[in-house]
Amino acid sequence: MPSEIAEITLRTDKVLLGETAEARRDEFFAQLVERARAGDESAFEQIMVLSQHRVVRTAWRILGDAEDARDAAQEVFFRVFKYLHRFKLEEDFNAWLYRITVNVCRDAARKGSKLKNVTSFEVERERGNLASLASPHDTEETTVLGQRRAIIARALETLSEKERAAIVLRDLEGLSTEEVASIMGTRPATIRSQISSARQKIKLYCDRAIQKGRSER
Amino acid sequence: MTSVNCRKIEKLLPLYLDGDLPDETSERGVFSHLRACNGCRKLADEYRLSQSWLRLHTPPEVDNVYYDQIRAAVLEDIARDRKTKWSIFTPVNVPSLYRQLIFAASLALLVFSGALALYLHDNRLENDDPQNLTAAILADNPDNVLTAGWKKRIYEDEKPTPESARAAAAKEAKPAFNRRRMSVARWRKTLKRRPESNAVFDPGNERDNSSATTVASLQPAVISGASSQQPLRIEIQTGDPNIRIIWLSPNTTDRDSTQHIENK
Repeated sequence: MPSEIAEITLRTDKVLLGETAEARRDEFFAQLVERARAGDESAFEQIMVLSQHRVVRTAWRILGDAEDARDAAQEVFFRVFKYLHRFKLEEDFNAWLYRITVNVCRDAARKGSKLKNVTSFEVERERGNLASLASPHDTEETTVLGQRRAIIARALETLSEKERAAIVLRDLEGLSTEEVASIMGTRPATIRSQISSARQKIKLYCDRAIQKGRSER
Repeated sequence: MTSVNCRKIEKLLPLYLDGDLPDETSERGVFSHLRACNGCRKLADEYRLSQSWLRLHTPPEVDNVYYDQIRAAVLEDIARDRKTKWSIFTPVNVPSLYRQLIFAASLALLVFSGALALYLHDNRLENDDPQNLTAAILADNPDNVLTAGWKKRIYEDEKPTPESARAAAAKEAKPAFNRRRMSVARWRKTLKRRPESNAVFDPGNERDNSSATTVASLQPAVISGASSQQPLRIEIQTGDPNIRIIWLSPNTTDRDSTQHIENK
């Protein structure tokens, strides 16, 4: 019994510590934002350092290219600086940042990034794009991993920009349906519909890739 | 399980596996069906596999130089933006108090401009007021030939000029002779009765095919000698450029004779 109580207390402390740490982090971030709004450039640079990984990761997952992701991240931070006066301190800064990132990626896709070059799995295999991912020094596991990533990358390219943004935010960034709906400015029911459609398409694409692989053997 | 249920479950599976179904009732229903249906359970495994592949979609590893380049480019863009333009909506570097002052000054300037424009517009209207024109004409015309009808006409006009107002006054003062329709023969008869008059023109009040001119369509005249000491001379240009009416009256008593002609 005392050990159980100790375990419960430890878990509770961890939860409290976790919550406290998160609250402190949010408070620190809020102070940074307030200083940046007042004109402190060093505070704005700190904001960039703290959020650059998230922005680049999300942009890369949506756009699929490192160069496009870098350009998008640059535009995202410029817009953050430009519109920081419109941000309300009681809002969630991460959600606001995601919203800007999604909008920038959508604009970049419309301007004609690589996403427009949507191709089917068969065409990509004929071009040898999938095989080139493997090198002689790779283990079989690495090769398989690389091929699966390529399949998923091509599958994501077949999605619409809204489906892609929804699936990236929900399944890859780990946001809830309500958070994704808030970021994309729509209802949770619409997000569920987009996620369902995206997952079906990805599953079908993967099924075809697996069937092709088996038939070739 | 029936195939109808399986079709329903198939639609719910993409959301079920990650806990995205909107209500617990649907979740329980899918859970119960999967326990009993092998086909749907296999389909659920396929979805889990594709989701696991999806989570492999991670960005490549990049070094800190990549991120340094991004931050440097952003700061460069900000510096360039500050140099090229200055806006009252600049977010970070302009304190909010200054923005409020600038907004208040812009608003005050706008209100002042509007008031000034309104004042100038009212001032211009006052100068063109028909009442002022009437007073000016009355000052020139001591015989007070203006009638109430003429005044009304002045006010109804768009923007009467002094010349047109005088012409209208003279027209009003004149007998209705020129405004009444008279045949050429009748007009000539009136001339015979009144040899002292110097009217030299047959107004041709009836419309004819050649000129289609009526007295009613005559243009305002040049009026001179309106006082009782000077002879009254009135010239009226008709629509036909070749025809002009000149009315000469030596004194004001001529009005009685013209009234006589009018009644004819």
